[in-house]
Amino acid sequence: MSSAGPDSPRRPLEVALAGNPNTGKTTLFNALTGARAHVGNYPGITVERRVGTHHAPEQAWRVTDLPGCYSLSAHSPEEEIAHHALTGRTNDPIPDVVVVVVDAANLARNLLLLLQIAEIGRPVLVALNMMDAAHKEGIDIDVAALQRELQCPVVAMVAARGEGIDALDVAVAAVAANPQLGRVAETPWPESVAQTIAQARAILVQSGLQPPPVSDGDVLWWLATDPEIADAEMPGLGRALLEAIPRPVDPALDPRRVATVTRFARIDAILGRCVRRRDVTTSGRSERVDRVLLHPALGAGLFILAMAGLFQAVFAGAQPAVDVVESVMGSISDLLRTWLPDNLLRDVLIDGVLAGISGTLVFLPQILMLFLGISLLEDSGYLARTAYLVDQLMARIGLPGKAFVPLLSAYACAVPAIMATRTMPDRRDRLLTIMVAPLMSCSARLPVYTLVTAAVFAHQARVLGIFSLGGLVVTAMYALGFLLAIVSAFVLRRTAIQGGGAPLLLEMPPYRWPRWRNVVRSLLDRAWVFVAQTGTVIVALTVILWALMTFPREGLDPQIKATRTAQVQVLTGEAERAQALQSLERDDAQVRLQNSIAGRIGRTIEPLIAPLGFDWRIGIGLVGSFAAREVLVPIMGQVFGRGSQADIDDRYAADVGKSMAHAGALTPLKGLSLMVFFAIAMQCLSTLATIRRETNSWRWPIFAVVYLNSLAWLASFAVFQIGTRLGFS
Amino acid sequence: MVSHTLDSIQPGEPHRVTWVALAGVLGDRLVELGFTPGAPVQLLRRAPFGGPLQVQVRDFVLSLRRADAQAIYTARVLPTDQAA
Repeated sequence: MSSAGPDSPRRPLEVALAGNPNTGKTTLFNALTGARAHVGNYPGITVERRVGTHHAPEQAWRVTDLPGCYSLSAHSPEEEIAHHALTGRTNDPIPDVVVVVVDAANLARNLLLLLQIAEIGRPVLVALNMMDAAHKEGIDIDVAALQRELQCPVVAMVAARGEGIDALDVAVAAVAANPQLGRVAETPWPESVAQTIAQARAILVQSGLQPPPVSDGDVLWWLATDPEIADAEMPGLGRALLEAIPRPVDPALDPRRVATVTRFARIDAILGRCVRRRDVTTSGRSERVDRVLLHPALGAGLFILAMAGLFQAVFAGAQPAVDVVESVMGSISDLLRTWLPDNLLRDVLIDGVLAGISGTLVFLPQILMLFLGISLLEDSGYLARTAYLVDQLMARIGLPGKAFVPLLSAYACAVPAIMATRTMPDRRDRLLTIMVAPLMSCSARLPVYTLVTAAVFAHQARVLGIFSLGGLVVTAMYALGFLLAIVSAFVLRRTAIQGGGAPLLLEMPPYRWPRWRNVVRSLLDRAWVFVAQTGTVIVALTVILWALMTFPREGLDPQIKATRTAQVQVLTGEAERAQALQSLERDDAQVRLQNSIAGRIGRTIEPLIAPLGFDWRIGIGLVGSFAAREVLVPIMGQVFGRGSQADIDDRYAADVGKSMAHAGALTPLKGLSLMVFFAIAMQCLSTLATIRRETNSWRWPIFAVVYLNSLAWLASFAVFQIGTRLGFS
Repeated sequence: MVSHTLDSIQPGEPHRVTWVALAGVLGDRLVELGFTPGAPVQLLRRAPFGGPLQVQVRDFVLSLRRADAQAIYTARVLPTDQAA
């Protein structure tokens, strides 16, 4: 199991980093592994798995950064994963050595996790991190005494400055060579706990659990864990344990809790002998900052400023970079179009694969901007304070305070917003936020709103003499999305995503200056995960959509085309000829699109969308705008004979809208119905690919499409039918 | 000894935890975070409009909803007890 010492040079040492959140565990991981880390997901669960290599002097380590958790007993996916990784229930080997990263200023709570990990039989050692901060807070730790008391190596460190890594190398090698060095003695359990352990052990052994529990700690883990998780491992096990060892009326007498209290009593006794507190009369630095940042009035004002800054950065600050990405990708595709021979392979490369790649890269600036903001907020300690400040407000819409930043960013774009939900600790809360985030009116909807308002609302009288009708309608779309998000959250909480509503037990860590190295590293990780994992799905979906819009490539009737080509040839003027040729190509493209699979789908679904006021031509747009909502504009341009244009500016959108109105496809009522549909519907491949990556399954993206598009259909149906009955057109 | 609940004590006043009356997983979690009998605890501040509380237990600062804090019982540490 863990017998491979330094004498087996071929296999790297398996080292796991465990620890509470905010202990500098990630800083230590980055310091150990440099730039070489692999970010993935644990199977089936949306917890990120980070693995890297550390080249220690004697033997390389394969370092796994376990998810941060306060306890090993599984009440959250992070804790479940941490336990499973430590006991070989994931696909990774059982770690040879577990380095428990401990915040020197918060020893008691941190050492609880150490005891729990030691109890399940892993050789441990302590990386006593942030010694400098603890010293400043007036906490002096006798490291040698602590090591003696705990009976495992204790390495004092300041991981952020790389201090103590050499000592850690030596200590890990020593424990790997002799695991006995890292065995913390078992906590002596009181009679009631010992009896319960014996009882529970009998049940566990009888149930046939594999591998059977060895230590008392193993038994206690299965006892204290959520019955659901025990049941998932072994059907009926959780319930059997709960029935045999019921929870007493006074929760303080529950043996599960008595065990925790016993561990703390042992820790408190140890710390009493190793830690000296200097009398620090002034309250801590963080408390002084909190007096300002959490002040009822001043704090609220600063919060609004901070959030406005973050939103502005994502919404507008990223735009120049988006423009650069678009123009570079546009040039590449233009170049390829002239270099490559004109055939199907060229088209699939440029309009499928390259379009997908650029559809991925175009999100990067916003993602980087948002995650730059989030990692600064998180590392500084302010993110937890924002959740504290808005918790009550968010509770009214049925979501926790931590949903605020993701939902706010969803007004810029749902893709980074959905990625940002990973700061939310509760799985169900997170899922719920992901499901309602696409309802926030993102910036890709604006070209569609412009198309409609410019065509049918621009020349209407001003409301009350000051508000333009178009502006009011667009504002109403924002409100509609927000209200539906509240209603959806309410309904989903009671149907598809039951439970959640996690208690707010949120650590408010001390304020710290963010470490640029951690910030850069987390940005690179995010960017890489998005490009490599989400990007491949976006490219695949884009190619499929391209095929739908392209095949079977039936353009103008060959005879008509030949006649018109001949007509072009006889034209005299160079300019005239070019214009006629362009018009011929446009007509050809129009017919090709109408005859494509997407065109046929548009026609087939016409009975379905006619009650919303849409004809089959808009149907094609609904299919095509699955690539991204704003793509509706060039598709409509093509369908209504205006030609498509890559640069979707307001003027082009307005022109296309007017062509649609001219052709009778757009009236004020039909336009309103179309806007309502776009405000609600799930029509974005990139969002779907992101939901897939973040939830690790196709189930939730498909669910989002079904529920949001049904909702969109119903709302547009109501608008058009009621509007028609009331005599609007 | 007068018993208080964590949501009702004066901000900044030193207290000790006496009893976590919450059953189930949430109560287990609070105990694991350090709310054990005898642990020093104080209320730092209350968020406006009935929002959550900022609480310090041992060396750990966290936010808690008021309803949850209501189930945590405390006893005030008097100046005369502080030597103990």
